[in-house]
Amino acid sequence: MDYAQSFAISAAGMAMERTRVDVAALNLANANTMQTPDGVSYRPLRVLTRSMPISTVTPAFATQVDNGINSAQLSFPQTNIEPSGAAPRNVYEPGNPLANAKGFVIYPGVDPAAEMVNMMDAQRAYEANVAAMNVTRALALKTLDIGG
Amino acid sequence: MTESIEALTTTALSLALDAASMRQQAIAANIANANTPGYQPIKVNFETQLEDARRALESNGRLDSQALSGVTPRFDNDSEIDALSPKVRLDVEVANMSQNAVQYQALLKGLSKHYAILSTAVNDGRK
Repeated sequence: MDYAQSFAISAAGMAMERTRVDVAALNLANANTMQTPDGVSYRPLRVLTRSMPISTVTPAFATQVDNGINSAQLSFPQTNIEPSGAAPRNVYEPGNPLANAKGFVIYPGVDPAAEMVNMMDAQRAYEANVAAMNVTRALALKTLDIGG
Repeated sequence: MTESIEALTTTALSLALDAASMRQQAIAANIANANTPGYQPIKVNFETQLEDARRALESNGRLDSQALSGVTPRFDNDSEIDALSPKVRLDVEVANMSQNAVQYQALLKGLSKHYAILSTAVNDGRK
């Protein structure tokens, strides 16, 4: 049996969770950056995930035959990062040099609570992936002991 | 290989090991996709296929490799999980994973013991 596949699946899961943590950290880091007068501002990001059957990632015909063409397939998680489109926050700071004519400063619409929840969620899921990978490793090593 | 020497135990254990190893893959995939919306969890279909072999054992009183020839572990969609609850339940998956790991190691132990018995026979009972 092909253990490399199990490792690759867990690795893909970990990569996805790390992306979610990265994006949450980036959003939090930019939560208080202001929009400059020329309109440049940070746009909060979000991660979209979907699962791709392994055969579309590594299109080995033999794998499909092994698994049976019509049966269920293993899938890799895949991520896309895109702007979340959250409305910016307007904060009244008339003394601020970056304030607009009405005295408002525009901050990106980052929701710290939501980002923290995302980060916790990603952390737990990451730990589960690590557990799965450790079990795979233990099994692969045990297999070497057959007949011993 | 040594198909003729006690082939049934080796065949059955190999199939069960294949199934356990595929189950590890399926659980790893389910955990990796735990946060993917619309993901359909998968499981391994193996034990239900052993019904035929069990029936053959009951009627004939013995098993041969032919009874296991049609048995192949394969991936199936997990239909037990209903659409209302969250698709992948991490705790269930992790519990299944440790159970599967223990089962895998038990199967390996069985295979090793089987080879040890064969080895004793080949060595004429001497160590």
